[in-house]
Amino acid sequence: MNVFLTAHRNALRRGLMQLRSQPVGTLLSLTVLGCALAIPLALHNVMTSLEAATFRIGTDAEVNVFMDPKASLDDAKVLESALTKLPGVVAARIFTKDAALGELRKRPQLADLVASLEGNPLPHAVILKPAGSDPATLEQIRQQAARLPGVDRISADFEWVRKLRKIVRLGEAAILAAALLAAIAVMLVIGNTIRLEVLTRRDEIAVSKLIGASSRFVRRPFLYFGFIAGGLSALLGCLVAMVGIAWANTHIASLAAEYSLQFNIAQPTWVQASTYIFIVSLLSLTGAAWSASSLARDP
Amino acid sequence: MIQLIEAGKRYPGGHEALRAISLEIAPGEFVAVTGQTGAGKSTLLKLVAGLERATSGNVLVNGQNLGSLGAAGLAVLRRSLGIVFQDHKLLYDRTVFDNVMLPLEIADFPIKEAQRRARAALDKVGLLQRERANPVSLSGGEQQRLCIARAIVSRPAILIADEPTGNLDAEYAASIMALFRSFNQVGVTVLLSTHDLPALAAVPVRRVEIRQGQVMTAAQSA
Repeated sequence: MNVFLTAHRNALRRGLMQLRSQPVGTLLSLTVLGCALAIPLALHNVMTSLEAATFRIGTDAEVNVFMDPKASLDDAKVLESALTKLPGVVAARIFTKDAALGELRKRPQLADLVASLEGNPLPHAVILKPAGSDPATLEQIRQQAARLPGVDRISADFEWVRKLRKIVRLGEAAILAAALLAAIAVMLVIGNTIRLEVLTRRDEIAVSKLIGASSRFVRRPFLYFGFIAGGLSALLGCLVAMVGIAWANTHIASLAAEYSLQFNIAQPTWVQASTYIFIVSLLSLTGAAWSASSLARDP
Repeated sequence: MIQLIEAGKRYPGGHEALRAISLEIAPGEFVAVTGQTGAGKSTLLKLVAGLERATSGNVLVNGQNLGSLGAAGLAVLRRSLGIVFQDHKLLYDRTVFDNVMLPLEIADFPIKEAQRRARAALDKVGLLQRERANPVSLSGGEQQRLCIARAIVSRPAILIADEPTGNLDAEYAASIMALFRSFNQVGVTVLLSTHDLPALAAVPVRRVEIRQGQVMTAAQSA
């Protein structure tokens, strides 16, 4: 056990020495990898946050049935009753024209416009809560509601949510592609770095083998090198992603406020970051093993 | 015990470097393989060190038939030997000290013990004061001593040296031979090749002369 631990401790020390032997080159390679690795991580968090937001919006999806402006509150109550009975409708409530005007008055940017109105041009509306947000159910509600008397216009706000969800799905595919590309980049860059390192150290490797080094002994530091380099580049990737997300959130917060929304991109959690670092380290180790496999050959 | 039984070596292309050589070297012996350039001395040493494989016959080291060993087995064998190469095979991007540390790193010695042994080996060959130097800055004789320090640092039972006095002046050659003699006196089996016969005059060695790949004579000197 002691020999095993000593062998690995020595290999780790030699792996770290290899990392330090060309600090500028190593730092540049790790920085390039770190930036490449930050992209899928940041994209993943953007999409996760968007997905959560659309789910929230989806849960609250509403169908607004606007009545003819001439319709009375009694007409609205009749319509509410009729809409409640429609299949796929969970609940319906009247949103009166006065309440709507009151909402508009609360918005400072519309205050002047509302003040200039002589009467209330807004219609009564009935807000429906659908049982689900699948397009077929919502379309059915829309068609049935449109046939009811007094209905002027139907606004289905869920449409944009549906489109947003499609965009999220597309984003997920983009993340997968970016993650695959980043994984390939990690293996290629680390593999190539190790290939160059092997070339630089070919005399040392040859002499070591002549005096009894096993292929395992020669390969081991390169594997540690790959594992550590992968871990460091993933750590750098996490930091870049965190800084990028923090910067983006400052802009997103002010934009969301314009629409009275609260939205920000979630930062990577500790679990997420450590899992990411571990996975990238393993990928990097794979690249290193592949590149150092040539060292298995005898002198 | 080193045994060569009808051992031969034919290189690709047809050149026959050794022809059915039979030789026994007992533990603690000091054997010098002599002969002219191209006689097959280096090939014989390479067969014993497991650096080359015999194409006929058998080579046994401490009872192990090297022909039956795989790459991993040969690596283990080489770790148990001290090998001094004709062209030194030093690492010129490492210090003198780090060169001597290499076999101990390969043998996975704990770092403190390895450092202690490396300094002891350098002290033995008179290079402790130059431990921080780069091998390039050493003279030919000093590089040879460094190569010997690397070979003895893991305290091998068998020391193999290919032309250790080549290109050295007589005085330095004698000091190198004295070093080998001192290792032999503490029980190390020494097998070296040389064409420098005067260098052997001062040390009691069994001479094995090789000519055109065959053992011609065996004689005891001094």
